[in-house]
Amino acid sequence: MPDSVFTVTDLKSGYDDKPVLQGVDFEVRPGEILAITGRNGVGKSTLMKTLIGLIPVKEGTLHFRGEAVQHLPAHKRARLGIGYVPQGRDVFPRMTVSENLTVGAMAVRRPDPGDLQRIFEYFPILAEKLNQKAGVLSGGQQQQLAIARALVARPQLLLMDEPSEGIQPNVAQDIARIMLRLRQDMGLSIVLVEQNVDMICSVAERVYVMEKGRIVAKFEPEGRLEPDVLRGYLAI
Amino acid sequence: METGYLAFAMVMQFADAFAFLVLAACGLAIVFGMMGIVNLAHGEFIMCGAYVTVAAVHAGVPLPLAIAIGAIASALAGMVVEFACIRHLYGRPLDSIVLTWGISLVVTQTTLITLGSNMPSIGTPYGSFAVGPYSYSVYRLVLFGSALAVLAGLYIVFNWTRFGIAARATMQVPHMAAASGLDTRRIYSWTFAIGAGLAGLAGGLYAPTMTLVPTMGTSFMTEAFVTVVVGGADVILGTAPAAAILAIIKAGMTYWKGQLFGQIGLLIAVIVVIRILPKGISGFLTRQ
Ligand SMILES: Nc1ncnc2c1ncn2[C@@H]1O[C@H](COP(=O)(O)OP(=O)(O)O)[C@@H](O)[C@H]1O
Ligand SMILES: [Mg+2]
Repeated sequence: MPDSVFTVTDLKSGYDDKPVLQGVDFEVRPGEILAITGRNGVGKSTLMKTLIGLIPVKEGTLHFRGEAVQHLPAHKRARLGIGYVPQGRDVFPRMTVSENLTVGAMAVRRPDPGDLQRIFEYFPILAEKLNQKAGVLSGGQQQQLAIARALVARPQLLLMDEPSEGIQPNVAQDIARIMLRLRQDMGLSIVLVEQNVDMICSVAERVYVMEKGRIVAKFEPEGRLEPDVLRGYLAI
Repeated sequence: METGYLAFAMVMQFADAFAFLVLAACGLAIVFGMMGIVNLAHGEFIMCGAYVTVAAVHAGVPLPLAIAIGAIASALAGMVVEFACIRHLYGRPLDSIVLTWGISLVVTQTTLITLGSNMPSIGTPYGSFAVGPYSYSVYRLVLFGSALAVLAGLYIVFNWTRFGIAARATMQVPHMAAASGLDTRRIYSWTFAIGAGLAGLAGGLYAPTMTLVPTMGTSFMTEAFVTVVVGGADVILGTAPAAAILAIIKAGMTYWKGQLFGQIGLLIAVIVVIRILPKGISGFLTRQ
Protein backbone atom coordinates (compact mmCIF):
# COMPACT_ATOMS: atom_id res chain seq x y z
CA MET A 1 0.00 0.00 0.00
CA PRO A 2 1.35 3.44 -0.91
CA ASP A 3 1.77 5.79 2.02
CA SER A 4 -0.38 8.39 0.25
CA VAL A 5 -3.87 7.80 -1.10
CA PHE A 6 -4.07 11.22 -2.63
CA THR A 7 -1.33 13.70 -3.43
CA VAL A 8 -2.06 17.29 -4.42
CA THR A 9 0.87 19.20 -5.87
CA ASP A 10 1.00 22.94 -6.58
CA LEU A 11 -2.68 23.01 -7.46
CA LYS A 12 -4.03 26.13 -9.14
CA SER A 13 -7.58 26.66 -10.34
CA GLY A 14 -10.46 29.11 -10.24
CA TYR A 15 -13.25 30.57 -12.30
CA ASP A 16 -13.16 32.21 -15.73
CA ASP A 17 -12.24 35.68 -14.57
CA LYS A 18 -11.08 34.84 -11.09
CA PRO A 19 -8.13 32.72 -10.01
CA VAL A 20 -8.83 31.21 -6.58
CA LEU A 21 -6.36 28.45 -5.69
CA GLN A 22 -2.82 29.82 -5.78
CA GLY A 23 -0.82 26.62 -5.37
CA VAL A 24 -2.08 24.07 -2.85
CA ASP A 25 -0.03 21.08 -1.71
CA PHE A 26 -1.04 18.26 0.60
CA GLU A 27 -1.14 14.53 1.00
CA VAL A 28 -3.82 12.23 2.37
CA ARG A 29 -2.63 9.04 4.02
CA PRO A 30 -4.58 5.77 4.00
CA GLY A 31 -7.33 5.73 6.61
CA GLU A 32 -6.69 9.31 7.60
CA ILE A 33 -9.17 12.11 8.23
CA LEU A 34 -7.54 15.37 7.21
CA ALA A 35 -9.43 18.54 8.07
CA ILE A 36 -9.15 21.74 6.05
CA THR A 37 -10.53 24.87 7.59
CA GLY A 38 -10.58 28.61 6.92
CA ARG A 39 -12.97 31.54 6.72
CA ASN A 40 -15.73 31.88 4.15
CA GLY A 41 -14.47 32.69 0.69
CA VAL A 42 -10.88 31.47 1.08
CA GLY A 43 -11.40 28.76 -1.56
CA LYS A 44 -12.22 25.59 0.37
CA SER A 45 -15.17 24.64 -1.83
CA THR A 46 -13.23 25.59 -4.94
CA LEU A 47 -10.53 23.20 -3.77
CA MET A 48 -13.02 20.36 -3.30
CA LYS A 49 -14.65 20.96 -6.70
CA THR A 50 -11.24 20.98 -8.33
CA LEU A 51 -10.31 17.72 -6.60
CA ILE A 52 -13.43 15.91 -7.84
CA GLY A 53 -13.17 17.47 -11.31
CA LEU A 54 -16.05 19.94 -11.47
CA ILE A 55 -13.60 22.81 -11.99
CA PRO A 56 -10.64 22.24 -14.32
CA VAL A 57 -7.11 22.17 -12.93
CA LYS A 58 -5.14 25.14 -14.29
CA GLU A 59 -1.78 24.02 -13.03
CA GLY A 60 -0.39 21.32 -10.79
CA THR A 61 -1.07 17.61 -10.43
CA LEU A 62 -3.41 15.26 -8.57
CA HIS A 63 -2.40 11.69 -7.93
CA PHE A 64 -4.96 9.21 -6.68
CA ARG A 65 -3.33 5.96 -5.53
CA GLY A 66 -0.37 6.71 -7.73
CA GLU A 67 -2.37 7.58 -10.85
CA ALA A 68 -2.43 11.10 -12.30
CA VAL A 69 -6.07 12.17 -12.43
CA GLN A 70 -5.90 15.91 -13.04
CA HIS A 71 -7.01 15.54 -16.66
CA LEU A 72 -9.88 13.14 -15.99
CA PRO A 73 -13.48 14.41 -16.01
CA ALA A 74 -15.47 14.18 -12.77
CA HIS A 75 -17.33 10.99 -13.66
CA LYS A 76 -14.08 9.13 -14.28
CA ARG A 77 -12.60 10.27 -10.98
CA ALA A 78 -15.78 9.11 -9.25
CA ARG A 79 -15.50 5.72 -10.92
CA LEU A 80 -11.90 5.39 -9.76
CA GLY A 81 -13.05 5.71 -6.17
CA ILE A 82 -13.28 9.38 -5.16
CA GLY A 83 -16.56 10.25 -3.47
CA TYR A 84 -17.86 13.80 -3.09
CA VAL A 85 -20.32 15.20 -0.57
CA PRO A 86 -20.85 18.82 -1.61
CA GLN A 87 -21.54 21.85 0.53
CA GLY A 88 -25.30 22.33 0.58
CA ARG A 89 -25.76 18.57 0.04
CA ASP A 90 -27.22 18.79 -3.49
CA VAL A 91 -29.32 15.65 -3.30
CA PHE A 92 -31.54 15.04 -6.34
CA PRO A 93 -34.62 16.75 -4.91
CA ARG A 94 -37.41 15.33 -7.06
CA MET A 95 -36.12 11.78 -6.88
CA THR A 96 -36.78 9.36 -4.06
CA VAL A 97 -34.17 8.40 -1.47
CA SER A 98 -33.95 5.04 -3.16
CA GLU A 99 -33.39 6.59 -6.60
CA ASN A 100 -30.73 8.92 -5.17
CA LEU A 101 -28.86 5.87 -3.90
CA THR A 102 -29.30 4.11 -7.24
CA VAL A 103 -27.59 7.03 -8.94
CA GLY A 104 -24.78 6.89 -6.38
CA ALA A 105 -24.24 3.22 -7.14
CA MET A 106 -23.95 3.85 -10.88
CA ALA A 107 -20.25 4.60 -10.42
CA VAL A 108 -19.58 0.93 -9.67
CA ARG A 109 -19.93 -1.63 -12.41
CA ARG A 110 -21.34 -4.42 -10.30
CA PRO A 111 -23.16 -3.04 -7.27
CA ASP A 112 -23.45 -5.47 -4.39
CA PRO A 113 -26.96 -5.49 -2.88
CA GLY A 114 -25.32 -6.04 0.50
CA ASP A 115 -23.75 -2.58 0.22
CA LEU A 116 -27.09 -0.92 0.67
CA GLN A 117 -27.84 -2.94 3.80
CA ARG A 118 -24.49 -1.93 5.27
CA ILE A 119 -25.21 1.71 4.51
CA PHE A 120 -28.55 1.49 6.27
CA GLU A 121 -26.70 0.31 9.38
CA TYR A 122 -24.96 3.68 9.41
CA PHE A 123 -28.05 5.64 8.37
CA PRO A 124 -31.15 3.76 9.54
CA ILE A 125 -33.36 6.79 8.90
CA LEU A 126 -32.79 6.43 5.15
CA ALA A 127 -34.17 2.90 5.18
CA GLU A 128 -37.40 4.29 6.62
CA LYS A 129 -37.69 7.03 4.00
CA LEU A 130 -36.77 5.05 0.89
CA ASN A 131 -39.81 6.11 -1.08
CA GLN A 132 -39.90 9.74 -0.05
CA LYS A 133 -38.65 12.49 -2.32
CA ALA A 134 -35.23 13.72 -1.19
CA GLY A 135 -36.40 17.32 -1.42
CA VAL A 136 -38.80 16.91 1.51
CA LEU A 137 -36.21 15.48 3.93
CA SER A 138 -34.81 17.61 6.75
CA GLY A 139 -31.36 19.14 6.37
CA GLY A 140 -29.75 16.48 8.55
CA GLN A 141 -31.46 13.69 6.63
CA GLN A 142 -30.37 15.19 3.31
CA GLN A 143 -26.82 15.35 4.63
CA GLN A 144 -26.97 11.66 5.53
CA LEU A 145 -28.39 10.89 2.10
CA ALA A 146 -25.61 12.83 0.40
CA ILE A 147 -23.02 10.84 2.35
CA ALA A 148 -24.79 7.56 1.66
CA ARG A 149 -25.03 8.40 -2.04
CA ALA A 150 -21.25 8.79 -2.12
CA LEU A 151 -20.66 5.65 -0.06
CA VAL A 152 -22.68 3.24 -2.23
CA ALA A 153 -20.01 3.76 -4.88
CA ARG A 154 -17.49 2.21 -2.43
CA PRO A 155 -14.96 5.07 -2.59
CA GLN A 156 -11.50 4.94 -1.10
CA LEU A 157 -11.38 8.68 -0.63
CA LEU A 158 -14.28 10.83 0.50
CA LEU A 159 -14.32 14.60 -0.01
CA MET A 160 -16.75 16.23 2.43
CA ASP A 161 -17.52 19.94 2.22
CA GLU A 162 -18.90 21.42 5.46
CA PRO A 163 -21.15 18.52 6.47
CA SER A 164 -22.13 20.20 9.75
CA GLU A 165 -23.36 23.37 8.08
CA GLY A 166 -27.01 24.10 8.74
CA ILE A 167 -27.80 20.97 10.69
CA GLN A 168 -28.53 20.46 14.38
CA PRO A 169 -25.54 19.86 16.67
CA ASN A 170 -26.64 16.37 17.72
CA VAL A 171 -27.01 15.30 14.07
CA ALA A 172 -23.56 16.73 13.38
CA GLN A 173 -22.21 14.62 16.24
CA ASP A 174 -23.87 11.53 14.76
CA ILE A 175 -22.22 12.27 11.44
CA ALA A 176 -18.83 12.66 13.14
CA ARG A 177 -19.27 9.26 14.84
CA ILE A 178 -20.24 7.69 11.53
CA MET A 179 -17.11 9.11 9.88
CA LEU A 180 -14.97 7.41 12.50
CA ARG A 181 -16.82 4.12 11.98
CA LEU A 182 -16.41 4.38 8.22
CA ARG A 183 -12.70 4.77 8.59
CA GLN A 184 -12.60 1.84 11.01
CA ASP A 185 -14.80 -0.45 8.87
CA MET A 186 -13.69 0.40 5.35
CA GLY A 187 -10.31 2.04 5.79
CA LEU A 188 -11.78 5.11 4.13
CA SER A 189 -9.64 8.25 3.88
CA ILE A 190 -11.50 11.51 4.26
CA VAL A 191 -10.75 15.12 3.39
CA LEU A 192 -13.06 17.12 5.62
CA VAL A 193 -13.62 20.80 4.91
CA GLU A 194 -15.16 22.19 8.08
CA GLN A 195 -15.41 25.36 10.16
CA ASN A 196 -16.95 23.66 13.19
CA VAL A 197 -14.05 23.18 15.62
CA ASP A 198 -15.83 20.55 17.71
CA MET A 199 -16.50 18.44 14.68
CA ILE A 200 -12.93 18.79 13.45
CA CYS A 201 -11.54 17.77 16.82
CA SER A 202 -13.78 14.76 17.21
CA VAL A 203 -12.60 13.17 13.95
CA ALA A 204 -9.40 14.62 12.53
CA GLU A 205 -5.74 14.13 13.40
CA ARG A 206 -4.41 17.02 11.36
CA VAL A 207 -5.84 20.39 10.41
CA TYR A 208 -4.71 22.58 7.55
CA VAL A 209 -5.73 26.20 7.48
CA MET A 210 -6.49 27.99 4.22
CA GLU A 211 -6.33 31.67 3.44
CA LYS A 212 -6.70 33.36 0.05
CA GLY A 213 -6.29 30.17 -1.95
CA ARG A 214 -3.29 28.83 -0.06
CA ILE A 215 -2.63 26.55 2.86
CA VAL A 216 -1.06 28.93 5.33
CA ALA A 217 -0.76 26.77 8.42
CA LYS A 218 -0.56 23.09 9.30
CA PHE A 219 -1.65 22.06 12.75
CA GLU A 220 -0.39 18.54 13.45
CA PRO A 221 -0.18 17.98 17.20
CA GLU A 222 1.39 14.86 18.67
CA GLY A 223 -1.65 13.76 20.62
CA ARG A 224 -5.36 14.44 20.27
CA LEU A 225 -6.68 17.66 18.78
CA GLU A 226 -8.17 19.70 21.61
CA PRO A 227 -10.96 22.14 20.70
CA ASP A 228 -9.66 24.90 22.96
CA VAL A 229 -6.14 24.57 21.66
CA LEU A 230 -7.37 24.61 18.04
CA ARG A 231 -9.61 27.61 18.72
CA GLY A 232 -6.69 29.45 20.22
CA TYR A 233 -4.57 28.47 17.27
CA LEU A 234 -7.12 29.66 14.71
CA ALA A 235 -7.67 32.95 16.53
CA ILE A 236 -4.08 34.05 15.88
CA MET B 1 -79.52 8.23 -29.62
CA GLU B 2 -78.71 11.38 -31.59
CA THR B 3 -76.89 12.96 -28.65
CA GLY B 4 -74.94 9.74 -28.14
CA TYR B 5 -73.61 9.89 -31.70
CA LEU B 6 -72.79 13.51 -31.23
CA ALA B 7 -71.01 12.83 -27.95
CA PHE B 8 -68.90 10.17 -29.66
CA ALA B 9 -68.03 12.63 -32.39
CA MET B 10 -66.91 15.07 -29.70
CA VAL B 11 -64.80 12.41 -28.01
CA MET B 12 -63.14 11.62 -31.32
CA GLN B 13 -62.42 15.31 -31.85
CA PHE B 14 -60.80 15.40 -28.44
CA ALA B 15 -58.81 12.24 -29.12
CA ASP B 16 -57.53 13.71 -32.39
CA ALA B 17 -56.43 16.92 -30.75
CA PHE B 18 -54.88 15.13 -27.77
CA ALA B 19 -52.91 12.72 -29.95
CA PHE B 20 -51.64 15.51 -32.16
CA LEU B 21 -50.55 17.66 -29.22
CA VAL B 22 -48.84 14.81 -27.38
CA LEU B 23 -47.04 13.39 -30.40
CA ALA B 24 -46.00 16.79 -31.73
CA ALA B 25 -44.80 18.02 -28.33
CA CYS B 26 -43.15 15.17 -26.44
CA GLY B 27 -39.80 15.30 -28.26
CA LEU B 28 -39.65 19.06 -27.81
CA ALA B 29 -40.62 18.70 -24.15
CA ILE B 30 -37.91 16.13 -23.41
CA VAL B 31 -35.15 18.19 -24.97
CA PHE B 32 -36.37 21.33 -23.20
CA GLY B 33 -37.01 19.62 -19.88
CA MET B 34 -33.83 17.56 -19.69
CA MET B 35 -31.38 19.87 -21.42
CA GLY B 36 -32.93 23.33 -21.17
CA ILE B 37 -32.69 23.67 -24.94
CA VAL B 38 -35.54 25.11 -26.99
CA ASN B 39 -35.08 23.15 -30.19
CA LEU B 40 -36.49 25.29 -32.97
CA ALA B 41 -35.47 22.58 -35.46
CA HIS B 42 -37.96 20.20 -33.82
CA GLY B 43 -40.38 20.64 -36.73
CA GLU B 44 -37.66 19.66 -39.19
CA PHE B 45 -37.03 16.41 -37.32
CA ILE B 46 -40.78 15.78 -37.70
CA MET B 47 -40.48 16.49 -41.40
CA CYS B 48 -37.48 14.17 -41.62
CA GLY B 49 -39.49 11.35 -40.05
CA ALA B 50 -42.41 11.97 -42.41
CA TYR B 51 -40.26 12.09 -45.55
CA VAL B 52 -38.33 8.96 -44.68
CA THR B 53 -41.55 7.13 -43.85
CA VAL B 54 -43.16 8.08 -47.16
CA ALA B 55 -40.02 7.21 -49.10
CA ALA B 56 -39.92 3.81 -47.39
CA VAL B 57 -43.58 3.16 -48.19
CA HIS B 58 -42.96 4.06 -51.83
CA ALA B 59 -40.10 1.58 -51.77
CA GLY B 60 -42.55 -1.13 -50.71
CA VAL B 61 -41.98 -1.21 -46.95
CA PRO B 62 -45.17 -1.81 -44.90
CA LEU B 63 -46.35 1.31 -43.09
CA PRO B 64 -45.62 0.38 -39.43
CA LEU B 65 -42.06 -0.58 -40.32
CA ALA B 66 -41.71 2.53 -42.47
CA ILE B 67 -42.73 4.69 -39.50
CA ALA B 68 -40.14 2.98 -37.32
CA ILE B 69 -37.51 3.63 -39.97
CA GLY B 70 -38.58 7.27 -40.09
CA ALA B 71 -38.25 7.61 -36.32
CA ILE B 72 -34.82 5.97 -36.29
CA ALA B 73 -33.59 8.10 -39.19
CA SER B 74 -34.67 11.18 -37.31
CA ALA B 75 -32.97 9.99 -34.10
CA LEU B 76 -29.73 9.44 -36.04
CA ALA B 77 -30.04 12.90 -37.57
CA GLY B 78 -30.52 14.19 -34.01
CA MET B 79 -27.33 12.47 -32.89
CA VAL B 80 -25.37 14.04 -35.71
CA VAL B 81 -26.77 17.50 -34.99
CA GLU B 82 -26.04 17.10 -31.28
CA PHE B 83 -22.50 15.99 -31.95
CA ALA B 84 -21.76 18.64 -34.54
CA CYS B 85 -23.53 21.65 -33.03
CA ILE B 86 -25.63 21.41 -29.88
CA ARG B 87 -22.96 20.08 -27.53
CA HIS B 88 -20.83 23.13 -28.07
CA LEU B 89 -23.60 25.34 -26.73
CA TYR B 90 -24.64 23.64 -23.48
CA GLY B 91 -25.35 26.24 -20.87
CA ARG B 92 -25.96 28.90 -23.54
CA PRO B 93 -29.74 28.66 -24.10
CA LEU B 94 -30.07 31.80 -26.23
CA ASP B 95 -27.28 30.75 -28.56
CA SER B 96 -28.83 27.33 -28.95
CA ILE B 97 -32.16 28.91 -29.96
CA VAL B 98 -30.44 30.85 -32.73
CA LEU B 99 -28.49 27.75 -33.75
CA THR B 100 -31.52 25.45 -33.98
CA TRP B 101 -33.47 28.14 -35.81
CA GLY B 102 -30.66 28.31 -38.33
CA ILE B 103 -30.68 24.54 -38.71
CA SER B 104 -34.41 24.67 -39.27
CA LEU B 105 -34.09 27.22 -42.10
CA VAL B 106 -31.22 25.39 -43.77
CA VAL B 107 -32.99 22.04 -43.64
CA THR B 108 -36.27 23.43 -44.97
CA GLN B 109 -34.60 25.17 -47.91
CA THR B 110 -32.33 22.23 -48.69
CA THR B 111 -35.32 19.93 -48.78
CA LEU B 112 -37.16 22.33 -51.05
CA ILE B 113 -34.22 22.51 -53.46
CA THR B 114 -33.39 18.79 -53.53
CA LEU B 115 -36.81 17.16 -53.24
CA GLY B 116 -39.08 19.82 -54.68
CA SER B 117 -42.13 21.43 -53.21
CA ASN B 118 -43.99 18.25 -52.30
CA MET B 119 -43.83 14.47 -52.10
CA PRO B 120 -46.48 12.19 -53.62
CA SER B 121 -48.66 11.19 -50.67
CA ILE B 122 -49.40 7.64 -49.58
CA GLY B 123 -53.01 7.83 -48.45
CA THR B 124 -54.52 6.87 -45.14
CA PRO B 125 -54.67 3.12 -44.49
CA TYR B 126 -57.02 0.82 -42.52
CA GLY B 127 -60.37 2.07 -43.84
CA SER B 128 -63.12 3.50 -41.71
CA PHE B 129 -65.94 2.65 -39.35
CA ALA B 130 -69.33 4.23 -38.70
CA VAL B 131 -71.03 5.22 -35.49
CA GLY B 132 -74.59 6.23 -36.27
CA PRO B 133 -74.63 8.66 -39.15
CA TYR B 134 -70.94 9.56 -38.78
CA SER B 135 -67.99 7.78 -40.32
CA TYR B 136 -64.49 7.76 -38.86
CA SER B 137 -61.12 6.73 -40.18
CA VAL B 138 -59.69 3.81 -38.19
CA TYR B 139 -56.30 5.49 -38.42
CA ARG B 140 -57.51 8.17 -36.00
CA LEU B 141 -57.71 5.47 -33.33
CA VAL B 142 -54.21 4.34 -34.27
CA LEU B 143 -52.94 7.86 -33.69
CA PHE B 144 -54.68 8.16 -30.33
CA GLY B 145 -53.38 4.76 -29.25
CA SER B 146 -49.88 5.73 -30.35
CA ALA B 147 -49.99 8.89 -28.24
CA LEU B 148 -51.00 6.88 -25.17
CA ALA B 149 -48.31 4.30 -25.91
CA VAL B 150 -45.66 7.02 -26.22
CA LEU B 151 -46.66 8.51 -22.86
CA ALA B 152 -46.64 5.09 -21.20
CA GLY B 153 -43.28 4.30 -22.78
CA LEU B 154 -41.76 7.54 -21.56
CA TYR B 155 -43.12 6.96 -18.08
CA ILE B 156 -41.52 3.54 -17.98
CA VAL B 157 -38.21 4.71 -19.43
CA PHE B 158 -37.82 7.66 -17.09
CA ASN B 159 -38.93 5.91 -13.91
CA TRP B 160 -37.90 2.31 -14.24
CA THR B 161 -34.77 2.15 -16.35
CA ARG B 162 -31.17 2.93 -15.45
CA PHE B 163 -30.95 5.40 -18.28
CA GLY B 164 -34.11 7.19 -17.15
CA ILE B 165 -32.96 7.54 -13.57
CA ALA B 166 -29.56 8.76 -14.72
CA ALA B 167 -31.23 11.24 -17.08
CA ARG B 168 -33.46 12.65 -14.34
CA ALA B 169 -30.49 12.99 -11.99
CA THR B 170 -28.59 14.82 -14.72
CA MET B 171 -31.53 17.13 -15.28
CA GLN B 172 -31.97 17.94 -11.59
CA VAL B 173 -28.38 18.45 -10.38
CA PRO B 174 -25.97 18.02 -13.32
CA HIS B 175 -22.73 18.49 -11.37
CA MET B 176 -23.69 15.88 -8.78
CA ALA B 177 -24.71 13.46 -11.51
CA ALA B 178 -21.21 13.83 -12.90
CA ALA B 179 -19.60 13.53 -9.46
CA SER B 180 -21.63 10.33 -8.97
CA GLY B 181 -19.96 8.75 -11.97
CA LEU B 182 -22.43 9.58 -14.75
CA ASP B 183 -21.13 10.64 -18.13
CA THR B 184 -23.53 13.55 -18.48
CA ARG B 185 -22.40 14.41 -22.02
CA ARG B 186 -23.44 10.99 -23.23
CA ILE B 187 -26.73 11.27 -21.40
CA TYR B 188 -27.38 14.60 -23.10
CA SER B 189 -26.63 13.24 -26.53
CA TRP B 190 -28.92 10.24 -26.01
CA THR B 191 -31.63 12.55 -24.70
CA PHE B 192 -31.38 14.74 -27.77
CA ALA B 193 -31.50 11.67 -30.01
CA ILE B 194 -34.61 10.42 -28.21
CA GLY B 195 -36.25 13.83 -28.63
CA ALA B 196 -35.44 13.82 -32.33
CA GLY B 197 -36.60 10.21 -32.65
CA LEU B 198 -39.96 11.07 -31.06
CA ALA B 199 -40.29 13.98 -33.48
CA GLY B 200 -39.59 11.59 -36.34
CA LEU B 201 -42.19 9.19 -34.95
CA ALA B 202 -44.78 11.98 -34.96
CA GLY B 203 -43.86 12.82 -38.55
CA GLY B 204 -44.08 9.19 -39.61
CA LEU B 205 -47.44 8.65 -37.89
CA TYR B 206 -49.00 11.71 -39.50
CA ALA B 207 -47.37 11.21 -42.90
CA PRO B 208 -50.31 9.16 -44.26
CA THR B 209 -52.78 11.89 -43.28
CA MET B 210 -51.22 14.89 -44.95
CA THR B 211 -49.45 16.31 -47.97
CA LEU B 212 -45.71 16.43 -47.39
CA VAL B 213 -44.15 19.82 -48.00
CA PRO B 214 -40.75 21.07 -46.79
CA THR B 215 -42.41 23.53 -44.40
CA MET B 216 -44.72 20.96 -42.82
CA GLY B 217 -42.76 21.14 -39.54
CA THR B 218 -44.19 24.56 -38.82
CA SER B 219 -47.74 23.30 -38.41
CA PHE B 220 -46.54 20.83 -35.76
CA MET B 221 -44.19 23.28 -34.17
CA THR B 222 -46.84 25.84 -33.20
CA GLU B 223 -48.93 23.35 -31.29
CA ALA B 224 -45.90 21.57 -29.84
CA PHE B 225 -44.63 24.89 -28.57
CA VAL B 226 -47.95 25.80 -27.02
CA THR B 227 -48.14 22.44 -25.27
CA VAL B 228 -44.63 22.69 -23.86
CA VAL B 229 -45.20 26.24 -22.63
CA VAL B 230 -48.41 25.21 -20.88
CA GLY B 231 -46.98 21.93 -19.60
CA GLY B 232 -43.57 23.05 -18.43
CA ALA B 233 -40.42 21.01 -18.18
CA ASP B 234 -41.81 17.58 -17.24
CA VAL B 235 -43.15 15.29 -19.95
CA ILE B 236 -45.37 13.11 -17.77
CA LEU B 237 -46.57 15.72 -15.28
CA GLY B 238 -46.60 18.53 -17.83
CA THR B 239 -47.04 17.53 -21.45
CA ALA B 240 -49.76 14.94 -20.82
CA PRO B 241 -52.08 17.13 -18.71
CA ALA B 242 -51.34 20.17 -20.88
CA ALA B 243 -52.27 18.20 -23.98
CA ALA B 244 -55.48 17.01 -22.32
CA ILE B 245 -56.55 20.51 -21.28
CA LEU B 246 -55.58 22.08 -24.59
CA ALA B 247 -57.31 19.28 -26.48
CA ILE B 248 -60.57 20.03 -24.67
CA ILE B 249 -60.23 23.72 -25.51
CA LYS B 250 -59.26 23.06 -29.10
CA ALA B 251 -61.90 20.40 -29.74
CA GLY B 252 -64.58 22.51 -28.06
CA MET B 253 -63.72 25.69 -29.91
CA THR B 254 -63.37 23.84 -33.22
CA TYR B 255 -66.73 22.20 -32.76
CA TRP B 256 -68.30 25.51 -31.83
CA LYS B 257 -66.77 27.87 -34.40
CA GLY B 258 -64.40 25.89 -36.62
CA GLN B 259 -60.64 25.30 -37.05
CA LEU B 260 -59.56 28.91 -36.79
CA PHE B 261 -61.23 29.35 -33.43
CA GLY B 262 -59.63 26.13 -32.24
CA GLN B 263 -56.24 27.73 -32.90
CA ILE B 264 -57.26 31.00 -31.28
CA GLY B 265 -58.45 29.07 -28.22
CA LEU B 266 -55.00 27.48 -27.87
CA LEU B 267 -53.23 30.80 -28.02
CA ILE B 268 -55.53 32.36 -25.45
CA ALA B 269 -54.99 29.36 -23.20
CA VAL B 270 -51.22 29.86 -23.40
CA ILE B 271 -51.44 33.52 -22.50
CA VAL B 272 -53.67 32.76 -19.52
CA VAL B 273 -51.42 29.93 -18.31
CA ILE B 274 -48.24 32.00 -18.57
CA ARG B 275 -49.88 34.65 -16.41
CA ILE B 276 -51.02 32.20 -13.73
CA LEU B 277 -48.36 29.45 -13.87
CA PRO B 278 -45.12 30.83 -15.29
CA LYS B 279 -43.42 27.44 -14.96
CA GLY B 280 -46.30 25.57 -16.55
CA ILE B 281 -48.41 22.82 -15.09
CA SER B 282 -45.49 20.62 -14.09
CA GLY B 283 -43.72 23.54 -12.42
CA PHE B 284 -46.88 23.97 -10.37
CA LEU B 285 -47.23 20.26 -9.57
CA THR B 286 -43.59 19.82 -8.49
CA ARG B 287 -43.26 23.09 -6.54
CA GLN B 288 -41.62 22.79 -3.14
N1 LIG C 1 -19.12 30.02 -9.46
C1 LIG C 1 -18.26 30.99 -9.10
N2 LIG C 1 -17.87 31.92 -10.00
C2 LIG C 1 -17.01 32.91 -9.66
N3 LIG C 1 -16.47 33.04 -8.44
C3 LIG C 1 -16.81 32.14 -7.49
C4 LIG C 1 -17.72 31.08 -7.77
N4 LIG C 1 -17.87 30.35 -6.63
C5 LIG C 1 -17.09 30.93 -5.71
N5 LIG C 1 -16.45 32.00 -6.21
C6 LIG C 1 -15.50 32.87 -5.50
O1 LIG C 1 -14.34 32.12 -5.22
C7 LIG C 1 -13.84 32.42 -3.94
C8 LIG C 1 -13.73 31.14 -3.12
O2 LIG C 1 -15.02 30.62 -2.88
P1 LIG C 1 -15.28 29.24 -2.17
O3 LIG C 1 -14.32 28.25 -2.72
O4 LIG C 1 -16.71 28.92 -2.27
O5 LIG C 1 -14.90 29.58 -0.66
P2 LIG C 1 -15.19 28.79 0.68
O6 LIG C 1 -15.76 27.46 0.34
O7 LIG C 1 -13.88 28.72 1.37
O8 LIG C 1 -16.16 29.62 1.45
C9 LIG C 1 -14.80 33.43 -3.33
O9 LIG C 1 -14.25 34.71 -3.48
C10 LIG C 1 -16.04 33.29 -4.15
O10 LIG C 1 -16.72 34.52 -4.23
MG1 LIG D 1 -17.53 26.58 0.88
